[in-house]
Amino acid sequence: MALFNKKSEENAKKNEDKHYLSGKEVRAIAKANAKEMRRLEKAKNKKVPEEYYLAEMKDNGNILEVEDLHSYFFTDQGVVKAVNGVTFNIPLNSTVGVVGESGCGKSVTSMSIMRLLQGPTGQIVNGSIRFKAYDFKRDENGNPIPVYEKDENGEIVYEEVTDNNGKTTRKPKQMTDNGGIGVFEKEEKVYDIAKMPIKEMYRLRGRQMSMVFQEPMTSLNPVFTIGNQLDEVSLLHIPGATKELAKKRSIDMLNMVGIAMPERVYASYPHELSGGMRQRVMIAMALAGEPRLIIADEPTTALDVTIQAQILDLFNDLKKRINGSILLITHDLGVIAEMADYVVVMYAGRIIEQGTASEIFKNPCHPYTKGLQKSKPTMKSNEDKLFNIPGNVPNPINMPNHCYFKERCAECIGKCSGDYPGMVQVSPSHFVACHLYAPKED
Amino acid sequence: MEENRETDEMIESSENVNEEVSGIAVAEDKPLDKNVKLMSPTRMVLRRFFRSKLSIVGLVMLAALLLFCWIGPFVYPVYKEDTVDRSGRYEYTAYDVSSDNGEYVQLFVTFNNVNDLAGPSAEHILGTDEQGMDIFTRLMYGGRRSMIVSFLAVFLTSALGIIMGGISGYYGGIVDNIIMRICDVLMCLPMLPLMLIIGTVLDANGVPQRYYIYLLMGLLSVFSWPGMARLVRGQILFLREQEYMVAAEAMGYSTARKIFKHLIPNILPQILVSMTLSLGSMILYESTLSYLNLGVPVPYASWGTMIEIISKRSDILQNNFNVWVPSGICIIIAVLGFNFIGDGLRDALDPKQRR
Amino acid sequence: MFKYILKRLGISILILFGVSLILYILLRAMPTDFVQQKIIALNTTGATVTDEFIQAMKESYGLADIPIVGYFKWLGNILRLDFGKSFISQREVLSEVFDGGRIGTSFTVAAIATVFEFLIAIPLGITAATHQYSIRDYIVTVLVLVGISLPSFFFGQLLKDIFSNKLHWFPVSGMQTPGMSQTGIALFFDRLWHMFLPILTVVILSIGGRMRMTRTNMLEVLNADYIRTARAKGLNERVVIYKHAFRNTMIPLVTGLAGLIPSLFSGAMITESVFDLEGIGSYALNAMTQGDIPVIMTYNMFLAALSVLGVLLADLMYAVVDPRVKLA
Repeated sequence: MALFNKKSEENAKKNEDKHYLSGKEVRAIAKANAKEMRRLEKAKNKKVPEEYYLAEMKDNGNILEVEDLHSYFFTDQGVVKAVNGVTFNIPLNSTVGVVGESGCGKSVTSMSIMRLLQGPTGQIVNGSIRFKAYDFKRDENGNPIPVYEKDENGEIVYEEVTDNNGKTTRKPKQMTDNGGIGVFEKEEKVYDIAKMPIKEMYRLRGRQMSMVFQEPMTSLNPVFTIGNQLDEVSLLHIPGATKELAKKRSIDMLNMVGIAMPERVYASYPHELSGGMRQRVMIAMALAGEPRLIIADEPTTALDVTIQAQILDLFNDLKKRINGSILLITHDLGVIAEMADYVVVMYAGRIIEQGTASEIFKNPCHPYTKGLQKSKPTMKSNEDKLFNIPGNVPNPINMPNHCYFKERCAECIGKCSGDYPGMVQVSPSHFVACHLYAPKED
Repeated sequence: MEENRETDEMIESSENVNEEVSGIAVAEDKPLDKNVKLMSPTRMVLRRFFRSKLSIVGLVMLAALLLFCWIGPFVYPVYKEDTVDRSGRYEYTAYDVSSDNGEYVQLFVTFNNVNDLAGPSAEHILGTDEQGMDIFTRLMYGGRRSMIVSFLAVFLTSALGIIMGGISGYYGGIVDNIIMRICDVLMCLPMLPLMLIIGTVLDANGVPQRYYIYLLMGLLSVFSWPGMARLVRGQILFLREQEYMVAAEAMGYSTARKIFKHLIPNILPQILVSMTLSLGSMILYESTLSYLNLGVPVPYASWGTMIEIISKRSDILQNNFNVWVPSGICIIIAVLGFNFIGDGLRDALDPKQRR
Repeated sequence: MFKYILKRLGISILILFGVSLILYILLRAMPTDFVQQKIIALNTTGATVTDEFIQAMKESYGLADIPIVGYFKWLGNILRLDFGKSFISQREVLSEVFDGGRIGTSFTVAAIATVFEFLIAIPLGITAATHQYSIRDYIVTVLVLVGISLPSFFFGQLLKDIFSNKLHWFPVSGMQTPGMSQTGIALFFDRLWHMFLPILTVVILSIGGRMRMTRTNMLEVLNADYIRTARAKGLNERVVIYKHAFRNTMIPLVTGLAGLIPSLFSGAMITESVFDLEGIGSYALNAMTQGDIPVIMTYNMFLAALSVLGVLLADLMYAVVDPRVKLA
């Protein structure tokens, strides 16, 4: 009891300090949060018909279209608008890089796409994430429809199948791919991920889109072997897969990501592998379901520089081999320069500039992008001191409606105190959110 | 259409959030990274603590019990702890007697000068026990004794544990080894049998029975500090590996400063949680010892001794619920209260908590 | 590995030595020892008791020496596997303590209770953790916390009064229905029927701790990165929880099993005496109040040995369950 008395005295003192929230404010926040979280959690688990979350792509050349995405965290300190109206596209067979300082919302964007935000605090509040899935076509019972082999005349080939009882029946022969895996009919469908019930996400995760995380050291389950964890993906996503098939595929995958002794790694536990090896395993795991979109959330940050280069090479190599797109999230401009076709620059939960890689690197428009590039150490520069952008990344609670970069900006103009700048088109593919480039009003 | 409506709703309510939260003034002139008002650490702990309704329930339960035991006797001063109700009462026993004159009922009237085992009435809210003492009043005095004994035991255990664990963790090496082996030995001692043996030892050495429980609980503390010592030692070993302790070392801080400024504040939350939880178990221990006839003797009261009578008299067990159930309920409320608060504190003080 | 076990066994013997020393000295400090009780009994019958007779009696019970010498004599006997005779019944302690019926009864109660404890507590803990802060979590937490907060004697007596005395669903006390000569299955069920309430008492009292442990572990595991990975793979929530999270939560639970060994054989003293079960617990309680030193020593040392063994086994189990742990 005495303890609490002492604490409330301290509180009284601290109330004078403007940095801290008062009890009244805390209660107001808690009440508003509880209401919102309950509503969104309910919506997440509600069963809705498929039509509700089917959508149309704006541009058929894209695999993913994120439009006006808002992902908030309802914390005790207030609503953290970690992603606050983000719009970008990922074209088919391309790599899109998202850069920004830590805490700018790039990881939250990727988590939103995977619907992995930790509820009930983290929620997608608004916006749409349209994803073009290329999934198995299913009959009324939800079973995938096999594709049968046909001869020259277009007739279905039949084969004799002997079942366990020794009875022989004639069955249509299912087509198989090079790996000996049965082929099923597939169809393209566009889903709005933001509206999907969480239960439906299981069909997309791993098979349609997969993710490589930042922390290879803790991202693998310590009590299962690598093989067990890899097999799981194949068993889950390939209809009718057997244990043997899964193992064969897993070892193929390990081979593909450049692991020297796949059989040995297959049988070992995560703690027996180095960080780089684990990240390779994570990548193999992401590839095993043959997804069309791989999200790599700072895949090299936790690794040594030499290993980083190897992993990036691997990604570059994979880009050519797999038939899909990569969303690469990093704070490292060098990585982006090496890998990305398109670049999205984020600041405090919003996109401030986006364009092709060459546009962003050759002609950066936003003062923040320029600052980012200047703060990269190079051998060429003669200056003693490394350039830095003054100030810190804001914590996106209670943001005002003017450019968030205003105070840190070297090129600030009078207009900057006005409304938040809209997206200005610099070139057909290059957009920037800055008043400097706003068309002159007459 | 349906879809649109839903999205509209979403936007609308998210704007609501904006409004409610933006009630908090944002200082315009401050840079953006400083404009955010944070929750003070104290408030954060309080908020986490009160997030669980159970913490509040626990606080209310304990506050009610404390008030009942300490203020109660002033509000209801009709009886004292050892007041025997000598108002007396007549007892009637009827027998069916059959004799040559036919059958009739024989009524025996006895006068009992102690009003014992009375049921609840206006005079005695919960009736009287087998000694004719008011149960409601004895609950208050018994509660005082039970809780004081448990508090003392917990403080003694914790003090011993913190000192031993601190020495062990801080100095390490051979000291640590010896203390940890002592811990092992003490942890292997079966507590309840040990207490029974000590109880008989006390009995033979002419210690008045009313002091038994204090001595026993004191000895229990002497034997049960290893739990706390291990907790403290583990924490210290963990903290010593942390960067800020290495930094403190590098800055050349004195040992005392390192301990009091850095180590103690970091271990305190765990100690507090463990103490709260062990308060509950100490109350249980006290009542168990009392039940085994090692508690305070009549006329003194404690919750455990008030139940003890049923181990001797099964008629009271079966017929006089009012004698033994109330103190059992009091014990449950007290222990439950401490458990609720301990749980809440653990959630509130755990730095690993994400929410 | 082998060296590690040897080292641990060495330490265990040291611990047991310490435990036995403390116990023996304390026991000898009980001045109302058995001899004195006997003499008092003899005195009341009017017999004259000579000093020589007392001395002879003390000799025969091993109480003549000062405690520390007595201890080493006792220790010597133990090493020769001579546990002495019970003062009360004059039978060999070993056959007395390990009398099949006694330890069997206690073991049956404890084993059945432990099985139910795990079967109930683990699913409850998992539900509470996966639905943290929900109504379900609150209800489960409150119920199990009430369970831990019950004083065993109070709860046992309450159950006995309600279900046996008032409702007559279960027998009031004892081991089997008196006056009935049952065999086989019928006897087994009759015994079970008698043990139902004691088992219920033990289960309800112990579920809470186990459930809270499961809940805390589960919550910690659910926040781990590898759980996020499992979700990202497309596994549904059931597999994520019951395969990936559960296997990690199991580690402390399984090793905790080894720690239960002593309680399997110790018998629940209070519960057994409340329900008049002829288990090892109520027997030891009785011996303790009468100062039967050989029985008390053997019983308590048996328990201490079991708990030392339990700790060692728990460490070995860790190495089996958790692939990261290597014993060194």
